[in-house]
Amino acid sequence: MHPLAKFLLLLVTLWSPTGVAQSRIAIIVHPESSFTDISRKQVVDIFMGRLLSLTNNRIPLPLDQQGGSPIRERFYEALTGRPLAQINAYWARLMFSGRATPPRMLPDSLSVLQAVSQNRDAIGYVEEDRVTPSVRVLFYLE
Amino acid sequence: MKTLTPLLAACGLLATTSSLAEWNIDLGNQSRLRISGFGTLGLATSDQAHHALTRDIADQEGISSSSLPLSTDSRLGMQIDAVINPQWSATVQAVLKDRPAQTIEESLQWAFISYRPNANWQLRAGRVGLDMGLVSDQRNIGYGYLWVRPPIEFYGRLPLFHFNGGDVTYSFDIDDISLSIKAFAGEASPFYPSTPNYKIQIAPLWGGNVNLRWQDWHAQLSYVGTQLQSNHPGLQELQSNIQQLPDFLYPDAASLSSRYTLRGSQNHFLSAGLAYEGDPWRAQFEFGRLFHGNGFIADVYTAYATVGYRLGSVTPFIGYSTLWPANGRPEVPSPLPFPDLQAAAERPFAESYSNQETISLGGRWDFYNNLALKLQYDLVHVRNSDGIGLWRTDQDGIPQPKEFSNIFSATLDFVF
Repeated sequence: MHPLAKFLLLLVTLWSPTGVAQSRIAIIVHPESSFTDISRKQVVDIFMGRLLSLTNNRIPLPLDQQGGSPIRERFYEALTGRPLAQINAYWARLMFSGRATPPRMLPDSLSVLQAVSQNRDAIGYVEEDRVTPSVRVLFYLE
Repeated sequence: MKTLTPLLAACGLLATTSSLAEWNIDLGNQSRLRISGFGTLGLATSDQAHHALTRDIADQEGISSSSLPLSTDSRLGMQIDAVINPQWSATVQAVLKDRPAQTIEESLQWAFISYRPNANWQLRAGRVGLDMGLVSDQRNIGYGYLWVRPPIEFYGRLPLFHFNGGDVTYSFDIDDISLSIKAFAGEASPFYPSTPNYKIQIAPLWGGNVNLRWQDWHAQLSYVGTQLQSNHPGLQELQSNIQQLPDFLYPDAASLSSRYTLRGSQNHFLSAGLAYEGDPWRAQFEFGRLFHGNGFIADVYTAYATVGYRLGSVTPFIGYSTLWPANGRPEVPSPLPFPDLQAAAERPFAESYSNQETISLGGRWDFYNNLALKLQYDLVHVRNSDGIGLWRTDQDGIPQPKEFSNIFSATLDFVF
């Protein structure tokens, strides 16, 4: 490649909003989970505290990632189209008015993978390339 | 408020460094303890020297050119949630802020047990938040809204934040519309505005609301009623002074004196709200009507509207709020024979009367995870010339706030 073309390509890569191509986010459940049929909207509602139980009284256990982590920002942006600050303000209103408790937060993707592989009710999210056979992928978020 | 400064600074720092996961204590499969908090570090000033604008009528300090640098908006809250299982949980919340008494009893905002037998029903018992209007039980949580403080004309006349009792909520979906219906009942004993050490007994307190959520929209209709169980000692003294006047001196004695009776009187508040929380646009509107069962506080209409538009991490907004009497200002029917008594009889009418509007311009900057900086300018227009209403004054008599006031506010809001 011509050096100038290379330079231009580099500039374009740096300037594009997402920067370097990011891996997708996998929504994961336990391999024997009964939540394999849930929709994207239901996942939104589960993580926003609006859907507390599914048919047959199955109670999902959403597992969130660390407060200011990039994956958490990307997850809510992709799932709800909202910036993380708006999600945090939403939860502050719900939690501190005593209406609902936000999903449990785990420190990193490894902890989420471990927790999901050990709990049939758990629903979590990790980077696509972190997925292991110990969990089942429901769908991917771009 | 002095003791609050270092505490607030420490918690603000905590907000920047804390990772929420560390505040979770797992207690087995589904059980956990969650410790969290919120706060506001506020600065505010105005161009009024002798009149301080209050956040609500229970507020002590208010905002004036001579008010403390750490404003009446400052507060610090801590909450512990004990989630026992998906059905049972308990919540305790304490808030330090500017208020009539710095006691543990006054600090305790919520202390309740919640039971969800299934996805449709929730029952709460204990000290619970009073849910009347879109933000009534979220007013302490500055991080949750756009303004530096909820619109004063709407929420300023509603100083009650919680009650002891319980509520029941039934939620269900119709297609992609979520509906919830709530009913509550209990009792409360808040401090009476501008009367140190006097608590008024409210029993019963009752009400309910209907909420409809669809996509980014939220509509609410709400009602709350209260019955007062005690008379105000100052007003009772005034009543007996008026009753002592012989008929030939003051024929209206009996009817005027009965207007100051609080015991047995009922107050009602009705409101309708609509909120759109999309991205980048956000908007909120509420309309309310307040009825008072006594003879000296004016019934009022209240309303506000706010529109915000997000530009990156900054959300500028514009707001308008207004409060006006439904049936004019209640008056002392005819002049009393003694000037001192006339002034004493006038005072409760003037202290409670307000008729004003505010235009607000501001911005919220979400500059860091769990931290927001807000700036707001308010132009307050006092329409009436015969009421103190939402203001505090350090002057004797019934001095009027200026017709126009400029209020400048800044807050740092955080959750941790």
